[in-house]
Amino acid sequence: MIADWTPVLLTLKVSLTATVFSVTLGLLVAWVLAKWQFRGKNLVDALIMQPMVIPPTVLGYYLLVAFGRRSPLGEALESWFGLTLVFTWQGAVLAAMVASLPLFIKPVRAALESVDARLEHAARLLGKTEWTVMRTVTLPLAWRGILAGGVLAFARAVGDFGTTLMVAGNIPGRTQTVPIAIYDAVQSGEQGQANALVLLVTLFSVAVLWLVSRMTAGRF
Amino acid sequence: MLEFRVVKSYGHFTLDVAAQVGAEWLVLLAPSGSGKSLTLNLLAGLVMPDAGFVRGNGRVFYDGARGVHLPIRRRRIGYVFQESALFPHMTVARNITYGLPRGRDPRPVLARWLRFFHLEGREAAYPAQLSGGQKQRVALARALANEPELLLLDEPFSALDRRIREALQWEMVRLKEELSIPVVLVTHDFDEAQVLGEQVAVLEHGRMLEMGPRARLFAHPQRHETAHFLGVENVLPARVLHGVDGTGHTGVAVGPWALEMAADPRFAPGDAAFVGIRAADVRLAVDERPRPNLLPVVVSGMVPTVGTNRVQLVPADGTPLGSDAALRSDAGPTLTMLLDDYVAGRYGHGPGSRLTIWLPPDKLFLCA
Repeated sequence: MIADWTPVLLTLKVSLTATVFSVTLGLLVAWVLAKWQFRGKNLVDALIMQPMVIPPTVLGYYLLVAFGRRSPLGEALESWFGLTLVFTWQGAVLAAMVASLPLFIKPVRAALESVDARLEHAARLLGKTEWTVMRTVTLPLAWRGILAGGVLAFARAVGDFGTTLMVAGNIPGRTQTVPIAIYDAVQSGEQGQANALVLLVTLFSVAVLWLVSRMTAGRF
Repeated sequence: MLEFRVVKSYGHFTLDVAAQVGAEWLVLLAPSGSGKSLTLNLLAGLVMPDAGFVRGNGRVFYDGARGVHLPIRRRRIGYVFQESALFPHMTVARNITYGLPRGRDPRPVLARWLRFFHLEGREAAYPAQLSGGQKQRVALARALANEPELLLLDEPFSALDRRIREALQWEMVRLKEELSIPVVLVTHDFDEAQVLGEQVAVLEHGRMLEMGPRARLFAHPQRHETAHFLGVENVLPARVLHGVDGTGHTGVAVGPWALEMAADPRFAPGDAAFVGIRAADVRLAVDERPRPNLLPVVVSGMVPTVGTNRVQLVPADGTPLGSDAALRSDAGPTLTMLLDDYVAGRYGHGPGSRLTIWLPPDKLFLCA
C-alpha cells in the first residue's frame, strides 16, 4: 500500500491551514459582497473569482512574483515575521488558500443573500446590533451554505497541483503534497505508490461530494 | 406621540405622507400599491426617506434637513410584518424573548404574553409547526415583549382566513386597552379600520386623501374618492341648489331628484359635488306620509346575498342619475340599497318592480 505517508500528512496540514484562512477571509469577503452595495462590486467579484478560471500555473506565477524573496511583499514578510513563502510549506498554504477561496466565497455569498432581509430587520427592530444580528440570525440561517463552502474549499486545497508546484516546488517531505507526489511517483515508475495515492484521493473526493449534498438538504 | 412627514420617490411613484398620532390607533387604509407598507418602512428606518422627518416621543428618528438617521435598533419600535417573519430556527419562547436585554429574567414577560395571546403550551414549538394565526400571535408577542414605544403593524391579518382574522381582531380590541402607545396599522380592509381605528387615514397613489377620527370619516367622508374607498356604495354626481336655509338644510340635485340634506358650509349654490349614502341607509318607504327625499324608483337589478338582497334602482321616470364618466357608484348609474330577503319575498319585489324609497337627510352627505 502507501509506502510513504509523509505527503498525506503534509497535505492534511497544508489544506487544513489553508481552509482556516479561506473561511476567515472568505466569510468577510462574502459578507461584503452579499450585504453591501458599492461601485465596482462586479469588478471586485470578477477578480476574486479569477482563480477558478485562469490556469493554476499562471496563478502560481503571480503569487511567486508577488511574494518572492526579492518582491517588496516577500521582503516585508521575511523581515517582520521571518516568514518565507517560496519553497516552503507555508507557501503551499498560500497557494492552496488562493486557489480555494472562490470556491468558498461563491456558495457562502449565495447563502448569506438568501437569508430573508425581513428577519434581519426584525432583529434590528428588537434592538440588536449588526454584530448580534449576524451572530444570531444570519449565520445560523446560512450555516449550511457556509459548511458546504468550507468542505469544497478544503477539497480544492487538497487537490491543488499547479499553483502549489509553482510557489512551493516539489521538495519531498517539505512541500511535496499528495497531487505532486502522485506525479512524482508516476514519473519515477513507482506504480504501487501512485495507485494507492490515487485511490485515496478518489475516495476522499467522493466522500466530500456526498457530504456536501447531505448538508444542503434539511430543516431550515 | 408620533409625528412625521416622509417623502420617497421611485421613478414615477412618489410617496408623501404626514400625520400626528397620540397614544391611539391610526389605521392607514389604502388599496395595495398605494404606498402604505412603504410608509411603515420609512417610519421604522428600514427604508431611508428622501426627505421629511420622523419624531417619536420627542426623540428624532429621522430628520432629512439635519441629516439625522437614528439606527433602527435605537428606535424602540414594535413591528409586525405581513407574514410574521419569525426566526425559523428559534422556538416560540426564544422568539418572544429574543429582544429582551441580557440579565433580565425573561420568564414573567414570556408568561404574560403567552397568556395574553393564548399560546400556552406552544412555547417549545418552532414557527414551522404553528398555524398562520398562531404565527401572527407570536409575532405580536415578540414585538410587545420588548416594551416598544411605538407599534407598527403591516397588514398583520391579511394572509389569514376570515374566521381567524376576526378572532385576532378581538384580541386586538383587548390589546387596545393594554397599550398606551401610538399604534399605526396598515390595511386595505375597511372593516378592520372600522374595528380598530381611532384615527383613520386613507391613502391613494402615495398621497393622503383624507384623515380623521374614525366615526366622522366613515359617516361623512369629505372626498368622493374616500367615500368610494370606505365602501360607500352610492356616490352620485350632484349640483348644489340652494345654500343653508333657516333649518340648516341644503338642497342638491341628483339626476331628476331634488334632495334635502344637512348643510355643508364648504359648498355654495351652483357647485358641483357628490352625494353619498350607504346602501344600508337607503330605506323602503312603508307609508306615504309626505316628507323630503321620498323617491319613486324601478328595480333594475337584484343580487341575492345571505339574508339580504343587493338591489339596484333607477329613477321611475327614466331620467339617468348622471353621466357614466362622472360616476363613482359601484353599479354604474344606479342607486344601490339592501332589501331584506323576507320583505322582498313577501311583497314579490324583483327586477321591474316599482318602489318608493326614502333617503334619510341625516344619512346623506356631500363630498368634493
